[in-house]
Amino acid sequence: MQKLLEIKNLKVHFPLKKKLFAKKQVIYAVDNISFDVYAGEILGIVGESGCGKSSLARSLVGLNKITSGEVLFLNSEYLEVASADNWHKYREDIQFIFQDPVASLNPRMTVAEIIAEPLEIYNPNLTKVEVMNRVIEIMKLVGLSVNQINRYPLEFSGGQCQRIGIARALILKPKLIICDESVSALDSSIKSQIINLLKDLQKQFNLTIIFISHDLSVVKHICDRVLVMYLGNIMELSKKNILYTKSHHPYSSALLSAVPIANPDVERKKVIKLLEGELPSSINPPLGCVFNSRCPKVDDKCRMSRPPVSVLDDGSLVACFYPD
Amino acid sequence: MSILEVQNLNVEFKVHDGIVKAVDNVSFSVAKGEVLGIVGESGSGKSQTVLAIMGLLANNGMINGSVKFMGQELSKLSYKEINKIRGNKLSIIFQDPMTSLNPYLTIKSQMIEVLMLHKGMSKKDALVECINMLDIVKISEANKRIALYPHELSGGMRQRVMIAIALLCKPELLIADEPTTALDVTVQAQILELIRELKTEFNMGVIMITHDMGVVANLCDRVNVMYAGCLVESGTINDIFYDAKHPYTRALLASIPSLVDDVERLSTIPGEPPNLMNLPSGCAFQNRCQNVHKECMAGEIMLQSIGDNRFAKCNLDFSSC
Repeated sequence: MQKLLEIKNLKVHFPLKKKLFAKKQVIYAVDNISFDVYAGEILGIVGESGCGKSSLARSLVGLNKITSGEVLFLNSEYLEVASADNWHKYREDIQFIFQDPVASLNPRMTVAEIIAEPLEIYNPNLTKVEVMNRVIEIMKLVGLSVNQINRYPLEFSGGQCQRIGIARALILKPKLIICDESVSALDSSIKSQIINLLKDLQKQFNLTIIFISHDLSVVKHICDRVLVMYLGNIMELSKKNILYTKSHHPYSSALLSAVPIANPDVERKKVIKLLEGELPSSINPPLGCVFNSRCPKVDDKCRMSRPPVSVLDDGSLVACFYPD
Repeated sequence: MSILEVQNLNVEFKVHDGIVKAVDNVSFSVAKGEVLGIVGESGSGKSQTVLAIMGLLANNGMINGSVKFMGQELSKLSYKEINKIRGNKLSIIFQDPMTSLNPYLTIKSQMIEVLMLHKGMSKKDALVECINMLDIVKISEANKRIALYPHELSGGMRQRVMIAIALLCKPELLIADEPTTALDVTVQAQILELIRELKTEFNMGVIMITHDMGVVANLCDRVNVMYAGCLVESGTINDIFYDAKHPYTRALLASIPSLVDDVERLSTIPGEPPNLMNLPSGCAFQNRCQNVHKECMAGEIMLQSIGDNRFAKCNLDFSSC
């Protein structure tokens, strides 16, 4: 399979404001992560809030500064030279769909203006009619009615605003779309509509999607492979059916067991591997394995050294000394 | 024995271009030791229902109908009188643990206040009781943590403090308005477990508001499904999950992606929830319903009894199925 995106030793650290005489502190939002994204797949990224999934996604499109490491898009390294010109070139191929459908649209622009803007920037030679034709075509594709073309975002519901966001991301025919919690803010009846839409569009255009979510049921439904993050580190990267049936990392299985299942018989019989305590601070991550403060399998080795990410027989990547 | 009885509750809000009917003729009851789930999408009126019960509606809200709590009519009480009940016998936990605690005050002063006000305890006794309660909600090192300010605690911890405050006076009824929506699944599992334990320990009734059917499956005994301000179906947890009657409940359950089963495509509910400012006449769900017919477009839809303590607000004939 063709690698669309290669991420090598990516680190995103945010320095905290230094206090007088105090030691300089850093938030380790993403700490040394390497993985590949293949063309045509939907890769899910899951984890608790504060685990660095959004920082990772935002750094892939230049919304966060990368501290070190490299990101290769179709083999050309692009993040070394994050000047405005270079970003301009790559953002044609990489688009972002945000969490809050209403806040991510400019309230003073009409739907047509919002959707047409990327096209006008990247193809300044197109005539107005050509642009409008493309806008209308894409609006039909995402299920918006064409007679709403001159309305403003405020006149739309959350689900429709997210459709506008999707149309805006799709109009340049990008290769990679990053969805950061794109369905989390929607109601359940609308959520399923948008999930189906994303899945259809992915098939139709052979899109590659990085799908970030904290909702493991949605990720299971939509993704091919899933990356589990904890405190800025990879815990596990497995194919979907492996992760959801026999996950290798103790954190993955604890996370999965905590998801409430909408079926009382199943839900009340299942054994929850309750994690004690809370997510440690990413300013002072634990020594050794970052998960050692909450892991049921912890021993001295885990407290001393950080387990490397290793490849198992079934192709999964796991960062644990004692994988299941 | 039911501790809360809501009869024909209506909540309306006067806004500048009309009247919004947030809750439309809702009746239900909660028994001691029972967990009632209220589910629905945003705008379905689930939060406004409980805010009306608590007397916490916004200033432009009008309440109509009867709310009887332990035999006492709450909707007629004055501000002073209801304050004696709120936080004492009737408590609420809000969705957002970040904003429902006062950031200027320590946990200690926010907790002690409750006991001094309702129980007339001395500061010293109250402090002991508060530390004890923090232990019950499993906050470690409670005697130290009680002196902290809210921002020094994590989200899960703050929600535990909220629960502790709500439980200080051993309420008869605890209302939880989306208590775990803002939390991670791992912390959510801890909080749900905690609520379950405390419910048994204090033998209190619980109203659990959520939009997550998984949370309902985990905790509730009975479920009320709301749509556009109406109570559309009510039944036991098994009725709702395995034998739902109302087309909305069925469609809602079918549209949830499952962690257990695999489906290629999710089934969806077409369209969007109606605008509460101008609801269609007849059934509010008519535009999105698969079984819609002529009678649904006009006239009031009656709540029909479809079994033992089971109701559905629909014109369909359920007697045959």
